[in-house]
Amino acid sequence: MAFQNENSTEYLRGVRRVLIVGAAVALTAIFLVWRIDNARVEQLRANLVDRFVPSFEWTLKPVAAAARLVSDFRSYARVYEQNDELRRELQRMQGWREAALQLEQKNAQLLALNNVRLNPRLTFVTGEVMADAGSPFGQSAMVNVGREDGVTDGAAVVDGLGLVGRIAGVGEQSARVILLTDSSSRVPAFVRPSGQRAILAGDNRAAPVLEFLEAPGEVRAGDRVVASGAGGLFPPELLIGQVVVSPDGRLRVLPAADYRRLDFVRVIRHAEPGLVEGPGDIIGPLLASQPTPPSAPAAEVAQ
Amino acid sequence: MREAAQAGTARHDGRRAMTRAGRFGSVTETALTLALGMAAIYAALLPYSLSADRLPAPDLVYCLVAAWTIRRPSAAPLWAILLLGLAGDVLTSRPPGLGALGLLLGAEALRANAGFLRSGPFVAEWLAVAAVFAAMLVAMSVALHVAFLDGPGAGPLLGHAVVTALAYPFVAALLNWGVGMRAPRRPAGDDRLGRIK
Repeated sequence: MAFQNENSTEYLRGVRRVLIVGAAVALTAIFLVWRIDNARVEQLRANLVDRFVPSFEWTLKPVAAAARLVSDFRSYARVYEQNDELRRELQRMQGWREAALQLEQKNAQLLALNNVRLNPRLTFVTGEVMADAGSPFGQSAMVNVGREDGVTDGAAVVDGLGLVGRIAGVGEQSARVILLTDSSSRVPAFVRPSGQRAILAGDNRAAPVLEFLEAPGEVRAGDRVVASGAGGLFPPELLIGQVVVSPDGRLRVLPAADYRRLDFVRVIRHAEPGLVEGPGDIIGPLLASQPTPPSAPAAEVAQ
Repeated sequence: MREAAQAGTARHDGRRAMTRAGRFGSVTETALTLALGMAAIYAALLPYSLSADRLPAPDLVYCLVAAWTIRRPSAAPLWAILLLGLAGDVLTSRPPGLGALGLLLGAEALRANAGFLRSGPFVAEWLAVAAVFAAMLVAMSVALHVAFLDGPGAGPLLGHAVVTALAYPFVAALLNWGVGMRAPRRPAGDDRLGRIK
């Protein structure tokens, strides 16, 4: 058939085949390197993303806002039902507000009694979510704060309501957050009323699974789950969510963070308690370890 | 009639019709398609909703590469497909190399049948593209399992495949009429069975 003649000789086809096989081998090698040495490849990915994605920030945000406007418009149709729901929820919230005020007063009294100074080491930096994962193979987000703002690898990320995820890969001006729902996310957690430790494992569904529970029978739906400080991974007592029981009988956690409208997040900068090594140069030069005669510092000052 | 026939053969010489570039010329076409690919990758990154049960987004890069490979099998260079695949992998959160490998092998599978798919109705092309994409997703899941990783479950992947298949006609229309990459016309000289038309 005249028009199906590929116009290439057998030689070119052979060369092409070799090229394809070579490319396939190279790509498999890249995949294996990523699998073996995840941290370094993720760092490389973060650097590349840092170079290319923030420069398009001016397009990402407005288009996403427009898309969300369209979806919000659909929900305007249900205004009456939403109004009803909101009124009922407001009534419930009034009750909680009273309870919260009383607890706050009690807490203040107890703190004053104990003379406790709360750990001031938790500072945070607020960033905006610029991009999402982009494929069903992972759940992650990109924020526009990076090494320049003090973000370190492994830092916890929260939004106003609860834990969102963890930083993996930091560039100069951007960082990637692995969300709790990602299949490679494992967070040590505490189930509150029963006080059991568990691991929160994501599996690409909206509610990550609670694994390694010692006594699953004692955990009920509605229990609060918070981050335990195990391993120094996360600062302790960060709210994660509530326990729910999924239709297949597993215990899952519905995250308190609102993933559908994640705009601003806080990256917690957990300063390591430093090791005290020397006498600590506070005011003057370092004195010698033996007790010096009082004339020596006077001689130094006179100089 | 003879002048008409001669004019016909002069205008639609078989080989020349096949390698005629679209509206713009072959280098510009490649550049345009690469730019569209990059736009597709950035479109996939839009932070519409981060919840894990959001509506799956179509894989526009695959649709673009498939439509390009079917329409211009000799002018869809390997390096461009590799570049789009790797860029997509790195910028989105796919395991690097996996998506690019799937894209490469899928494009090669479509390229081998490009002539057959071009000459049939559009539905055949659509079905073939959807089937190749489904096979790609299955292969990627298998590769992840072999590497002891948990991939996305069958549900999200099925949604992804369906939405991508639904988006394919739009991408093909864009390439057809926007960029001008039409499937080359059959020459007026003889038809498939060798009969002179």
